[in-house]
Amino acid sequence: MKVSASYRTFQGFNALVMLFVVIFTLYPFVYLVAQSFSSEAAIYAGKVTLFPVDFTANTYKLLLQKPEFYKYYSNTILYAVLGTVISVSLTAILAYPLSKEKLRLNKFFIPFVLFTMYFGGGLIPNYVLVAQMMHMRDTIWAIVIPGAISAFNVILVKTFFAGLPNEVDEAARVDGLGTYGIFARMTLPLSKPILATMILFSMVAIWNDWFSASLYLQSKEHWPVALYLRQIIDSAIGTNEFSSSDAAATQIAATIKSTAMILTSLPIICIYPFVQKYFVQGMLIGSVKG
Amino acid sequence: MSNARLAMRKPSLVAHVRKEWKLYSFLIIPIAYFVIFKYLPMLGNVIAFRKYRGGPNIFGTEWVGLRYFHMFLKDPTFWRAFNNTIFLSITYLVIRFPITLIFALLLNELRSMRVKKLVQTVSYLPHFISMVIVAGMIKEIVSLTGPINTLLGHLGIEKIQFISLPQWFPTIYITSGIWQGLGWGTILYLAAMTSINTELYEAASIDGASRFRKAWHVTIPGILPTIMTLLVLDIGGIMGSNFEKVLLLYNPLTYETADVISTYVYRMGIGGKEGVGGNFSFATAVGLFDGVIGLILVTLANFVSKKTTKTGLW
Amino acid sequence: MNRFKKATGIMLAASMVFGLAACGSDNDKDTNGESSTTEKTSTETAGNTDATSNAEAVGYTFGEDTTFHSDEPVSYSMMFSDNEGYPYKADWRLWSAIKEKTNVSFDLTVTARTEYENQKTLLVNSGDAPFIIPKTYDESPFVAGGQIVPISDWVQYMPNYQKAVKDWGMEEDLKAKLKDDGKYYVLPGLWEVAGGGYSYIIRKDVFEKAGVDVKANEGNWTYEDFYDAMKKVKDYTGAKYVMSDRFKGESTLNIAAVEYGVTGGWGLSNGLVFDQDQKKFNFADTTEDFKNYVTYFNKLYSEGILDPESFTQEDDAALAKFYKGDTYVINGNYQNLADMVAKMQVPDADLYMIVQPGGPKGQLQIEASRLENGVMISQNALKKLGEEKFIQMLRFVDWLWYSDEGHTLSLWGVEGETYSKDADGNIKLNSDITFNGLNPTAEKKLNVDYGFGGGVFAYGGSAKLKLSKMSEGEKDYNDRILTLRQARKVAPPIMGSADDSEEMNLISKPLMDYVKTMTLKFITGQANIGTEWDSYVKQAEANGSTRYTDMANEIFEKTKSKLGY
Repeated sequence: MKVSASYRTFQGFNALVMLFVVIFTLYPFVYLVAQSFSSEAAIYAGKVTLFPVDFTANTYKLLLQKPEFYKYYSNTILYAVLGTVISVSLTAILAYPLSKEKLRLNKFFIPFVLFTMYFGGGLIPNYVLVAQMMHMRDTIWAIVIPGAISAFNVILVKTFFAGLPNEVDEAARVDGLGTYGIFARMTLPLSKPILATMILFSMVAIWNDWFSASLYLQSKEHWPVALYLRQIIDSAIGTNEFSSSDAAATQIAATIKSTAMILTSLPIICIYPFVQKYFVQGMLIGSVKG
Repeated sequence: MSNARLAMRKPSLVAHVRKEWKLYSFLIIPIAYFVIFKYLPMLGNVIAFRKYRGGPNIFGTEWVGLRYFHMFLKDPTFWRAFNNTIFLSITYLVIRFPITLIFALLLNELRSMRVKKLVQTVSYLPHFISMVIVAGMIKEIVSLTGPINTLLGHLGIEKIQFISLPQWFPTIYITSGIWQGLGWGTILYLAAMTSINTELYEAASIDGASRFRKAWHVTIPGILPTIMTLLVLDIGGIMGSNFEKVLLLYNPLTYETADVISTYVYRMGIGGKEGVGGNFSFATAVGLFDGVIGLILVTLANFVSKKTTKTGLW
Repeated sequence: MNRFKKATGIMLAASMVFGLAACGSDNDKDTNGESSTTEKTSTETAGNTDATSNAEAVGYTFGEDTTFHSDEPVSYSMMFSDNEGYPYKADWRLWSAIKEKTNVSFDLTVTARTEYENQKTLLVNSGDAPFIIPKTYDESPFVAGGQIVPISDWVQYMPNYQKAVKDWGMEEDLKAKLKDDGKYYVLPGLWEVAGGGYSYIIRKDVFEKAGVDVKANEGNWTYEDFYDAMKKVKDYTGAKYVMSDRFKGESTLNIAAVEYGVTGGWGLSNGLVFDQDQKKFNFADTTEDFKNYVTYFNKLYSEGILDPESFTQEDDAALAKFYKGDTYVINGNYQNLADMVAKMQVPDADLYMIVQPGGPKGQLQIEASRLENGVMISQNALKKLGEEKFIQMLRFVDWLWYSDEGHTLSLWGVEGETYSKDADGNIKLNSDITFNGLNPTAEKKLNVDYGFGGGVFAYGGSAKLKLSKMSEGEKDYNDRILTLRQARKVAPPIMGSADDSEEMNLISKPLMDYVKTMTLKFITGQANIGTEWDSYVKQAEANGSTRYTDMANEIFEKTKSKLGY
């Protein structure tokens, strides 16, 4: 295959674009890390752009010494785990029958599910339902239930299920598996990529959620770490909560936001590359209609 | 009730359900969930027409007709939010849509799989970052001591308080949106591209088509259904904007360009920082108005798309 | 598509039926609620005699100079605003002290201060509010919803409150809280004397070196004079900015607004100022007065006296500049001042709180009202406790928030543990505890470690109690204000009907958002006062400023006889 000069120019240009995208995407993270380890004087003087200046990890130490921080962090983990279990199981058991073309009532159920993608109750009616009708206010359920199923995810999983070879079903039936058995022992194990994708989506959504927490959770002890982070970013957490020494106070004020942002997003940044291959595969199959 | 009606048309339906009851049984809990958590709140919209007073009367206490609609339609602040919503959404759509498509095409042209994977991994990452952090990052980066102002300082340009200047808000909103969504936006395109029949590319090569021609004549037509689907969805989303992001980034100084319908609903319904006891009915009326327009838009876009390209959401 | 339409049609039809049924049953409940209110009025008199004749029979003790004590342990639900400066602890001595004295414990909804207003709105509007809702600055938006007890119907059961109102002559002050039904809905904090409030904390040492005799001038200087003084400081020090404000300028804009006859900052409210001569409301924030007001701050801003970041920076950033000696003026109250002295990084800095400068409207005291934020009582308390138990709860509230004993407990704690009394009955904080600038070097903090002196309980009270927590400096500051500044009259309330109030609230919110935005824009030069003023007035008009004012005046005309105008 011959490679023309114009094509080589194009590849060079393309590489530059990719490099730009990578830098553009990563720079804010780099800047945050640099800021979080820099001294207050350097930050205010605008000296920090790429690397820490006057390296100090003091704010990390202080934040990691706070028992509340662990409390909020463990709340988040609990919400994410429970929420993911609920969300993924509900999505899967809804998508499974919807993926079966032979079910005639799907002509009703599929639009019924899809309609919710385009119209909904709005902020206040949802609040009234969750907080008042369902009495979920200030409980973990307000965080993990209302957003458990999204129509979009159901369609992804449904498409994936529909793409599984039919023979599997038949073979299983011959082996004496019933409907429930086929679902649990054949379909689910074959659907790891899409399930992994759903797990990731759900985990991330709950991990990042602060708004429903600020709406439904009155008690601070129930806060997820994202809401705590929001307080820090709004400077609603006084620096004297961290240290009574005055010189330290201004240093904390300068670095607490970036430090908290890094510590909160770290698990996602660390786990995400390992799950990536699953969700790329899952999205691929789930989104391409057969 | 629906069973009965359908059954009349197709007498075998009862038999069908009886036969497949195990599969149908999967639906019980999820469909109950949809009824309660998705459809009940839609009914809850009735408080836009009824006075809501709290307590057990979650559907309001008395009919007030269009009282709240009249009120917000008279309010210039509502119209400002309305215009801002449309302006931000359309500008964002017009800028982001082609950029994402071009980026997807460029990614597809990469020969090294390793590079491609690396770029994908990096560019998807921001999608998974909490809006709280995204907003926090933006504030740090555009702050007076942040890197952008430091750069301006080196260039001898006076520092700019980006976060409190209304003329900068759309730029911040759109740029950060692209930062967060560029990579993720390509994922469905890339998925669609893999399913294009490779014979088409080979045939084009035999005809001596260049890379650009192949992209234009094979790739784009191949992913056209995906493009149209996403476009229809985006048009349906014009009345919504990134509520969380705006809420976290705006302030009274930038309301002029930043206040959108959802934040207006939030301030009127819940209060926000000012905390001046909200009005649930009023806020619901505004939200309903917004939602209905969104529904109309997506229906229209879908109709046009079906007429012109034969693809649509339903 | 077709099938889909039909299907959703059926679905919607089905849900409409369901929805209407739900509405129907709700209406029934509503009428039940009404009948119970009628019952209430009939038993009220009975309850009254019962309580006065025989306190023993009701199962608790109460009264003037009597400690409230319930025979049975009781628990009341209450919202609690958690201040990040002294975060909530379940084992604070405060809780056990209340329990020991009264046999009452709280079932608290602990909410962060920053989320408190939102949560209060959500809980009250949705009818799920705890019984006791403290720290309420403005109860008006909650009245129309019907979730708040019209407390003026019940204050006859509250002996300590009654006594304070009578002894301190608070009847006039309370009129400001009346709603259209002639009732009020909040138990405000009552101060025997108005407080000094917020003002400017300055570096007196620097001002004096710059040639400003602060003490000689502050008595009659106006904002213009204060500008001249700050100008001298700028020239003398060559500082980039003289004043870098904290609280995002809210406090400064508030206290200056009073002297200019407008509203702004924390006191922005609805933009109305009551003209005591003409006996009517004017929308002050589009007047020439307001123009002068923003022009003044614009001058400070453009001449480099006021730090441009004053309106956007966080408190910490503003304080850091002041501590480091980069700026010389900052806003604060006396408690802030006490806190700041210890943190100054400049040796020999002399911090001084000036009386607020005067303005075109005279040399006025800022704090016109002796009312503080207060306690709302939710209808849920009445519903769930029943009338007798409800009255019992009110008497507990009465004791804790309005009796001398209750005040002293909330503020100073337990005698012998956290404070002692000298022979004259003056309170002295233990020397190992610090609070409000007292015993600045002590290890333990009265609010952080014990829970006393916190904003939810410790406010209001007699002049003597107020003095007890003041350092000499603060007493001096208060004296200066009382002698150098004139008191002003409180504006009458706007007693609109529920519908009127709702409509006015809905006009006011976006209107005042706009005024707030433009105030900042005029000051920071983002909008030009010379060329954009007229369009500002026009836009405020379009936002309903006149309609709002007219409604207020109409309502006032209808209700003024009740108010004694």
